Amino acid sequence: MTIRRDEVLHVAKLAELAVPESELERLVEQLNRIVDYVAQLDQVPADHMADPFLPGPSELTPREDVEGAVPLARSPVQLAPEFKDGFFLVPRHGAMEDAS
Amino acid sequence: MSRAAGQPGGGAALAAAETGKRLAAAQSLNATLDWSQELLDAEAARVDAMAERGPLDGIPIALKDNIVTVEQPTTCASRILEGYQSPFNATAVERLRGAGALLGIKSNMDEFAMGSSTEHSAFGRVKHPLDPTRVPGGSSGGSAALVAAGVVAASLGSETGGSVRQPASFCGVVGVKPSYGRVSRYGLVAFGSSLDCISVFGRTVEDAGRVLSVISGPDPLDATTVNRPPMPVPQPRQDLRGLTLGLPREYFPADLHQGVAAALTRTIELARELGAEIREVSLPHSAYAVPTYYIIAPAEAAANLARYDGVRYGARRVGAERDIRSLYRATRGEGFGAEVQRRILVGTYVLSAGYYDAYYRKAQRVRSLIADDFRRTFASGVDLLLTPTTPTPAFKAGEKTNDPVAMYLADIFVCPINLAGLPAVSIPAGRSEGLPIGAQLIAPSFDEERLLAAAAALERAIPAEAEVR
Amino acid sequence: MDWETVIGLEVHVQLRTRTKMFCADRTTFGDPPNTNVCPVCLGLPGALPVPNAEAIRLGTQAALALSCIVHQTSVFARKNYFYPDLPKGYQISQFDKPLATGGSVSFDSPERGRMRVGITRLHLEEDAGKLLHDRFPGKTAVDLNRAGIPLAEIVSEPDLRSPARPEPIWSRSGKSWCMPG
Repeated sequence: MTIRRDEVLHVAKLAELAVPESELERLVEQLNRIVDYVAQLDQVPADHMADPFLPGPSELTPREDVEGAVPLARSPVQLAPEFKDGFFLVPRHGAMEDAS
Repeated sequence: MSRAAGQPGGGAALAAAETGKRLAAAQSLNATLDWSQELLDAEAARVDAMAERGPLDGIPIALKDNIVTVEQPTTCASRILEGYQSPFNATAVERLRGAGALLGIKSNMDEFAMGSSTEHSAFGRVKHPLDPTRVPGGSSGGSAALVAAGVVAASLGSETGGSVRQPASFCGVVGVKPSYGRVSRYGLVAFGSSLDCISVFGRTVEDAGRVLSVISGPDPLDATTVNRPPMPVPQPRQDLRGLTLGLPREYFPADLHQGVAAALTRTIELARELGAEIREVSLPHSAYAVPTYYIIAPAEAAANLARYDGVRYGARRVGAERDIRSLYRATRGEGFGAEVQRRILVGTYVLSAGYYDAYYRKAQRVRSLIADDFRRTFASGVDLLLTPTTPTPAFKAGEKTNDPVAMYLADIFVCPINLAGLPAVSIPAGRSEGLPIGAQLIAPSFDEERLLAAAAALERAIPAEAEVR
Repeated sequence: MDWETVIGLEVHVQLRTRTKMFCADRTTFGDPPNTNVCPVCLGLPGALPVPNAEAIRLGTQAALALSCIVHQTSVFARKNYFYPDLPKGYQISQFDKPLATGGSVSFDSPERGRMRVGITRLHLEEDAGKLLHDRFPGKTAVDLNRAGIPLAEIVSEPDLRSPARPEPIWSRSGKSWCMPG
């Protein structure tokens, strides 16, 4: 097993995913299956390594500093699960304080 | 592909009525996630009122539900976006509308485009139009099924690792993947940013080519589009004289499914009869394509799906602790399906400290080697490559859902093309025990015109519905 | 035991552009919350970033004013973490290929005479939104007007030896932001 149970829980925390206890074992097994499979790339000799490749344009074309954002057919209040007085609302984290 | 009898004005309304009937008749396929007769009629009225007839005038075109539209929800077949209504249209949608296309159908898919069978939709699997016990392929299974079932003439899907060509092959329709950077991704819900391509299904190569020419071209809203004019509608050609077709030996293993092998043998022979020169070639790093893809795509997905956190839009669930972390974990844990969660976890793992170089950086470099194999081959005098699209015809539902890796291997002949950013097309090449088989043509970057002209010539010669021996 | 004070600085400077780093929303301060937002800085599905040419120009000028080497090729990269003021769940920043490296600022310190502070790097990135924790009981309020505003992050070498010094450095180089161009 490449990835241990506690590592899977750690990665789940990084990804902000709640994994129910009942599914953890199966998930660990499946993740190991996938990671063991992709680890085949170890077979590719290091001296054959090339620079990373990305398709598309070789450089980004920036845009001019002109106002004109895509208009919204629906405003934030219509999209948001919780919205009040112009603000998106989330549950308050205990340790947070107002910044200036 | 022509709208109802080419009538001036009112033609789209007829198309809308007819399409509604066909959608109702095809309900059991579960290929759609949203459509209504009211919306089709409203869209038709808009088209019929257009001052100028566009090239897609009144033609119904379904959209995979990861392409955002203002008029309908966009769910990506996920509970986390259930009911989400985008406040903007994808650029591809705006271009289709400008060309007079009749929109209003969002098609079912694997959740967030992650899958090869459309069995990973949160809203039920899509059934293969010829055999409901089988899958249509994925992730764009709904869009493929709608064309195969004759409900629409064309549809948009998306590819990250073959998700249009593979279902096209399974369903017996044409699937075209353009070069990366040819079609704007603005409005395509991102899965793998360096891989994603809006792609086209059609009944024929010509139909698919017409749609592609409308949606292609640079977009200031997508910095990864390449500054080239839109692809013109390909000029038809009578034969394949003057073309050299390469057959990469890695795509013709000895144990290839008999029906697939037979269909390709017949296709190669027909290509020869049409005057093509056939040459055996090698793409030596082909075997590494699927593992490379399953490092890069999940890594990019982990970042692209981080925005689904229940804060600004979409579904929200608050867990027991009622704080921000519990909001994230409950929303994402309950909103994402199992395959999406697996991929996010794999992606997060390969990007995490200590593993980044071993997996992600390594995969990026192997990707170079794979792209280089294609570049070298095309530079050696080969114009196009000809291969099977899939290793087997459509498999049975449930056959591969227990083993994620078994499912990934369905993409073995299509995903190298996504890694290399190349254009490719799957055309129907015959039937095996009644199930469609696809042949794939691959071209160098931005050579879609030659690709599609050749594919159309071959398409005319192949008896696509005939059993192969 | 004697301790030696060693100080390096990390400063985020807002670049004075009309629009945000990766989208064409206004950057004006003090507008009603969530009114200078668009699909990109809201992190909506399907939105894509397009970099601001003026922000790149200003960042380059700042780098030159700090005597940095400006690199012909630099790369935007994603810094992934979850926080309510971060709409995409990642910040677009620059990691191992920043816009500029290897500069310095010199000034006269009353106590130590002529001093030189090395500038390790200057890179471009986008700002996060604003959080208000006390406006609604039990809730945190999120305003994304600020999300996406262009920043130059400047990191100095740990060349300072007393806390009183940082102010003259940055107010001096603060002036330099107005001078070029």
